[in-house]
Formats: sequence, structure tokens, C-alpha cells
Amino acid sequence: MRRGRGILPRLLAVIPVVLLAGCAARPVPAPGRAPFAFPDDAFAFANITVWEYDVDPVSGGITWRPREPPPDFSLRCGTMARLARQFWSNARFDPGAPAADAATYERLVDEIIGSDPRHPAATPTVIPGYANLHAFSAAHRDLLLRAMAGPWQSYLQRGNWRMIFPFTPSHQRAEAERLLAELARGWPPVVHVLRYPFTTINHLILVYDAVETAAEILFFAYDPNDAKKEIWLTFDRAARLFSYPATPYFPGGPVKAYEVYDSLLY
Amino acid sequence: MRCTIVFCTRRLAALAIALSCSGCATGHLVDRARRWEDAISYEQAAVADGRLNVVYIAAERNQFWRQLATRRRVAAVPLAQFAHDEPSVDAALPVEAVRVERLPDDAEPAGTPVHVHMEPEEAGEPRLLAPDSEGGDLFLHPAVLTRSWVEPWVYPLLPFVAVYDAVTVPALLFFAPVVIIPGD
Repeated sequence: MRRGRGILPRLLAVIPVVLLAGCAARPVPAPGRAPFAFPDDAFAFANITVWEYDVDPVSGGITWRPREPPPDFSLRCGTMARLARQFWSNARFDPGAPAADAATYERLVDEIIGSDPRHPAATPTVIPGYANLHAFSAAHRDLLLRAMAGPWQSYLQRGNWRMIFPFTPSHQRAEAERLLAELARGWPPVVHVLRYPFTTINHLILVYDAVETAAEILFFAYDPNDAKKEIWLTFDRAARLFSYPATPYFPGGPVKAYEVYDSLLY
Repeated sequence: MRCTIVFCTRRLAALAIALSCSGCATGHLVDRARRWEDAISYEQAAVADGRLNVVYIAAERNQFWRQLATRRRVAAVPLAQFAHDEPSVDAALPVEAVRVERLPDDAEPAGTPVHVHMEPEEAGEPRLLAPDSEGGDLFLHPAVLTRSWVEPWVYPLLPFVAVYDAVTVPALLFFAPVVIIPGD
């Protein structure tokens, strides 16, 4: 009985240690290549939302209904954001080399998907015949869709545990500074934006640039749900919160944000 | 007696850890009680004793930026903190470093009247406080007056929710990866 009573405090004691360990293991070496550029380093196609959203521009309210017909490629925002960075950090495009056959490209894509998403590869995988990911993905959409497998890669993103914990204004401010530091190192961070426990938004984007002003920080990001234009995640310095812009699937407004694919626990 | 002390110490330690962990329910309850207030219009302003006294209408908002109420607020912004070669200019001062003195809501601004507006004369104005080119009006970035707090009703509830978290968070942590879907 006494032993049973002691388990709870011990379990609880482990939690802050685990959290601190996660915070301490973050630095990532820059891969030493040109900064991520949109749309060149992004996919030419978009993740399609399962739902169609109707945003009321006056009230900001949002309703949704199933998309008809159901999309052939959805629930992959996490996979796409991660893979866009893997292509940027672990692949090199060689437009001067002759194009390869489909089997070769499939093997090369599998190699990139299997590479470490948290650190740049020592030897990048060379993709012949294309100038960048945008051109490659425009020509090989079906190959990439198959390679990205099912939505389970988003479901099982290891940093998901963090979303159940609160995001205080101080945490969000530290996160904004962390994102700036990552960009300063030349490393575009993958960011999970959410409103958990509300499901208004639950999305992953790839941040690749930032502009600081006295009142806010604008983080420019690649949104896997939109292949045509970039979005910006705004950090309000005074309110110490992130805001996501209005999109076809979100009315715009405050969100919580944290970096994923950056350490053992994320 | 010693057993009682050990007993209490262990429970206090467990409670302290639970609170410091601030798990799911605790944090989201606090988020529910979190409030922001930002200026939506300036009513009056005056400069006196090196301070810009501003009467403004503030909107109180919740975590989803839904407007809950509006109030008349009065604040004094010391101008010296912005001072450089030009008066009222400091491009480098971030908004979180600006000092603002909150005055009673029914206070009247004393001093030389000045017109203050929320939109800069030119888009992309990097400064939080800037005079117009003609020098008559002032641009004051509304973010300077933003403030936040946690509603006091939440604090008596925290011990109960912390106990709930202490029981549920370990299970949530274990199952979170397979039940939470960051998709779409």
C-alpha cells in the first residue's frame, strides 16, 4: 500500500525532467546551403483538406462539411512539411544531369524519406534532371503521393504529446525567439500550430524567414495546404501570442505554436 | 509526529509537482481565464511632464481574440524612453520594453492637447511612437497599450484541477501519440 502511494509522485517527478531534457537538446547544425525559398523548395501540389470550410468574414465563425468527392491526397500536412525540409536539407538537385527513370527516382525519394528529418545528411542525395523540388514534384506527383504513404505519419508525430500541455505567453515568447534562432542558423523549423483542445486548426507548416518589427515578428512559412502562396505566422510581442492568417480553412486569429522535428522528444 | 510530517511533506511535494507540471486541464483552464486588452481607438491625449497621457477605448478579448467587452482606459507613456536625437523616436525599442503607467479609468488627461492616431503616416513605420511629418500629430502604436492578465476566479479551482491532472496526465502522455491527429 505504501509503495503504491509512492508511485504517483515518482511518475510526476519524471515529467519535468523529460520536458527539460527536450528543451536542452535542440541545437541543429545548419546544412550550409542556400536558404529555403518559396516556391522553388516547396511541393508543386497541395495537401487537400478533408473538409470544405465556410468562413463567415463578418463574425469569423467557421462551419465545415465533407469535401465531395473525397480528396485523393489529404491529412499529409505533417508529412509534407517534414519532407519539404528533408528535400531542402538532405537532397541536392542537379538540373544539368540527364533525367533518370521512374524506378531510380522512386529509390532516391525513398532514400530522402528515410533520412534523418532532424539533422542534415552528411552526403546529400542527388536528384538528377530537375532544378528544384517544385519542378520535380510537378513532374512526379503520383510517385511522391505513393511515397508519402498514409496519414499515420502525421498521427504519430512524436512531438504530439506537447499539445496537451498548456502554452503560456512566456512559452510562446520563448518559442518565437527559438524560431528566430533556428532561422539565424540557417535551419527552417517545422512548426505545429494548433488550438487544442479545440480542433479549429491543427496543422504543420515550415517556417523559412522572419521580419522583426518593434511590435511583432512576421514568420514567413510554407503552408502544405497551399502550393501557390506563402503564409505568415505573426508573433505579437505585446500580447505574446501567435496569430495565423485567414485561409480557406481557418478564419484567422490566435493559435499556439511550437517547433517539431527538432530534437529527440519533438 | 514524524510520520505525520513525512506524510504531509510527501503530499505537498506531490501537489507542488502537479502544479509545476500544469498539465492538460490546469493549463487549459488557465487559458480560459486569460484575458488580453488592446486599444481600438484613441479618444483624447495630452502631453505633460514628459508623459503622453492617452484616453482610449480598450477591447477585452479571450484566448480566441473574441471581444468580450470595451472599456475606457487611461494610460501615461513616458516619452523619455523613446527619446533619441529626434524627439519621440526609437526604432529599436521593442514593445515589450515600453513602460506604461496605468491611470484610473475616469482620469482626465492633463497637459497640452495633442492628436494621436493609430495608423502610421506611412505604411511600414518601424517606430512605436512617431510624429507626423508636419509635427502636429503623433502616431502611437496600439500595441504599446496592450496588456494581459488571468481572471482571479480561476485560482480557487486550480488545486482541484491539478489533482485531476496528476491522475490523467501520465495516461494522456502515454496515449497521446496514437489518439491525437495533427492532420489536415
